[in-house]
Amino acid sequence: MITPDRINGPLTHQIGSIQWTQPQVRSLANDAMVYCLGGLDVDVVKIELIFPAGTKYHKNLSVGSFTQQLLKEGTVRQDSSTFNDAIDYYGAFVSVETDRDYLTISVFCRTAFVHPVMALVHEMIMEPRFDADLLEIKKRNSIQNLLTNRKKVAFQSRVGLIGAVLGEQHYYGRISDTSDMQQVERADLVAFHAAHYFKSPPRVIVAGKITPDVNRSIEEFVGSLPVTSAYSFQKLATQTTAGIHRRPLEGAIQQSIRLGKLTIGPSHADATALDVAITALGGYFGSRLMDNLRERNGFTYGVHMSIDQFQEGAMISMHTELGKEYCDDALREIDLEFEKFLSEGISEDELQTVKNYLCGSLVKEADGSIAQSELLRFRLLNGLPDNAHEQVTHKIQHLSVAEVNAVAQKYLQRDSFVTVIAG
Amino acid sequence: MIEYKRYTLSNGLRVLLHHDPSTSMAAVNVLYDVGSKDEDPHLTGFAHLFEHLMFGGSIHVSSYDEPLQRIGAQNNAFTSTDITNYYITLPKDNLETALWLESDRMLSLAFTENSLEVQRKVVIEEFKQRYLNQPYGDVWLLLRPLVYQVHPYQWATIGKEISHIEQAEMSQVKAFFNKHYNPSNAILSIAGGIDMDQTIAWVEKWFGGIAAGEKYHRQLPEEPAQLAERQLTVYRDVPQDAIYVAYRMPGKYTPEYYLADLISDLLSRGNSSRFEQALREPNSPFTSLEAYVTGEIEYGLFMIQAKLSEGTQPQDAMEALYRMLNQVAEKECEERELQKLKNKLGFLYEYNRTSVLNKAMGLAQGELHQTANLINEEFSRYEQISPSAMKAYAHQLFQASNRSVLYYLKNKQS
Repeated sequence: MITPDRINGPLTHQIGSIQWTQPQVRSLANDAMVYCLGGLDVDVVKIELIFPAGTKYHKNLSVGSFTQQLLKEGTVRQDSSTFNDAIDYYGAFVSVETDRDYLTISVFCRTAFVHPVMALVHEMIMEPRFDADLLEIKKRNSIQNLLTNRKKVAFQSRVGLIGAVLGEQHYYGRISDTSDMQQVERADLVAFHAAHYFKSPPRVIVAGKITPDVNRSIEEFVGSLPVTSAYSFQKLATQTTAGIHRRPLEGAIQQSIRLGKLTIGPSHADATALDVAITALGGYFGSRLMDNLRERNGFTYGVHMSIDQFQEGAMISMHTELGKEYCDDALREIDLEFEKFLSEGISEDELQTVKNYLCGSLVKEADGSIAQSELLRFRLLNGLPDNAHEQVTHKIQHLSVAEVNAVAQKYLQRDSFVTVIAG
Repeated sequence: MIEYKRYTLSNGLRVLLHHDPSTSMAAVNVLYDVGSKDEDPHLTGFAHLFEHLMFGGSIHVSSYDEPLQRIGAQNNAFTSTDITNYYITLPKDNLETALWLESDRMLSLAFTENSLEVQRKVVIEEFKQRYLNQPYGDVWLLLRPLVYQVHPYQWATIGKEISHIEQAEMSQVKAFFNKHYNPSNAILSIAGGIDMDQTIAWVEKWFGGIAAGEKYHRQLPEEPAQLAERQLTVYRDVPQDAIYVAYRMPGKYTPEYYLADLISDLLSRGNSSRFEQALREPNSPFTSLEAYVTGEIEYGLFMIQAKLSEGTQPQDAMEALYRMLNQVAEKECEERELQKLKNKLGFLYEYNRTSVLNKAMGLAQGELHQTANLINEEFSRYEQISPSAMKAYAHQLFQASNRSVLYYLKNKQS
């Protein structure tokens, strides 16, 4: 038997290049753009329809949210039970989700059933029932969920952070309260649906096994969605309230600390270097903050730093939950890690590890056409070119220590972050 | 059909390899046949604490994570009542590095006092974050001892109480390693764009020389049959009353398990399921209602959890719930309703094949029970189920004497 070299381990190899599938792009009769990533040998297709119909398009964020929740609850022709039974019978999964910016309908099914399933999805988009009794039930349940969430320190600090960084009156900076939910009526849903679901054609991402039936169903049921006139939208400016914000929560035995600030979007020239800097400081298991707060001091189960992306901006955020008795020490250590990162900078060795970690993550995120469809969605919604992820990989591999340190100085000054402590 | 090859090394390590030409990734999964059920009742939470210590450096390699980050790998682990499972996904060209690190920590850990001290604190914070500082977070800490009176499933993986984790000593850590972290107690599975011959040669190279160790023979106390309904009522600072109902049932992979799993789907999978439709009734006593099976190996639980709408009396909610369960036990479902459940499962089985990690884990878990080929056989076990078999089993399962009920009620003032 070969005696292995356990001290040095085996030779390692450069992370290989990713096989990117270029999407096949076409437009439908209603000008909806379709992006197809085929090539999966498993008999599954994912069809994603993205509408610019997020909750920000109504001053009461709950209106868009309940419109989304009620969309899958039956049509003019069939009630919730009959409609959902039909979808479930085909073994399909249809999800309707919304964030502040977009409404996304995702369909997962076997290719043999794609035609009847997409017919149901078409009916759902065109003729939702918006049952008034069901709306009352959803309102009641959402209010109960909110009351439960308010007992969680992580929720409290999240509310505090977006309010402080983005503005308590801003559609990105607030969350619905119980009175917002209470006020929503069926007529609001009908009006929101009419005004926002058809103002422009959806973007369509298709991934997995793409058969002629899949293409035909998309032509028939997505290409026929009507497009009404454009809608003018009044953007709001974000407003940051600097400093430390405390949100006490009675009975909590841990506190949740969040830091945040506005930042640049993914098309900015500094975006890749900033991603690398954030990863090194707090974005992965080997990061400086994780090493300090968890692996050296045992203050917390975890700490994470990342960028939240919106259509109109981006926010850097850091989050950790820890025992109340550690909170002051942890805040001091966080300050020290920021200070050290800026004064000493990243080392060659550390940079190389972060580069490899990020490139390896991208290999995983690009593994197979369904995985690649998530990256494609990110590129489309952020107006990035088809080869943006290839460019990012190349850029990560060629970044210098000086470039990362310069970006850290520019964007990661500790005093430019809002601090929120809940609990 | 997921094709795989099976090997057993001379030290008893079971190895499963699956080649998937469509991917440039590889997944490495190491399953150790040890869970919280193997713990001393006075030292609970130990298997999970030990999982944390597996990342604190091994005999020849001071850092487990760093070499993996350098090759673009991602890794994690979990502990359950039955197993401790470690996994890595990485670009396939660096597969050998993963085998080096996994084999070195199977060979021996570094056992540093510092690692124990720090991870003890980390796990205590995890205990607080997940079980004590969340609304309804302590449900399983209450429910397990209600259901199990002697079997070690009576404590949660995190442990009975924080003091057990505080008391863990290095000598116990070493003894635990020697007892459970042996090749004969482990299953290594690798899936992805791998070269099968090269991979088994590497496995032999890195794992082949590890001593077999002493085979651990599990002897767990048998949980006596339950003869009457059990109840527990607690009051907490939560906004809503909740009820948790646990019916005892046989463990995973038994014929009853598949029946119970489909019954839980009938009640609760998809918007057209019976519970979901009941939630849409005007004046429903519930704001949420779900059913699932827990799927442990020795015994399982058929769980129902409900949150009650404002003003609903717990007794009224229970009556409404039992009426729905009785319907399943007394009237066969339509063939079409059952076919719907099978179609949903069929899709999920197909979809799972898109993930190399799912395949690696599935092979190892099947092997632990009986044969890795369960990954290919399981779906047909569901397909064979008939409406009459479901009804008959529901009748047996949903007996009052077979259940434990936790009333988790809000404090009067909240």
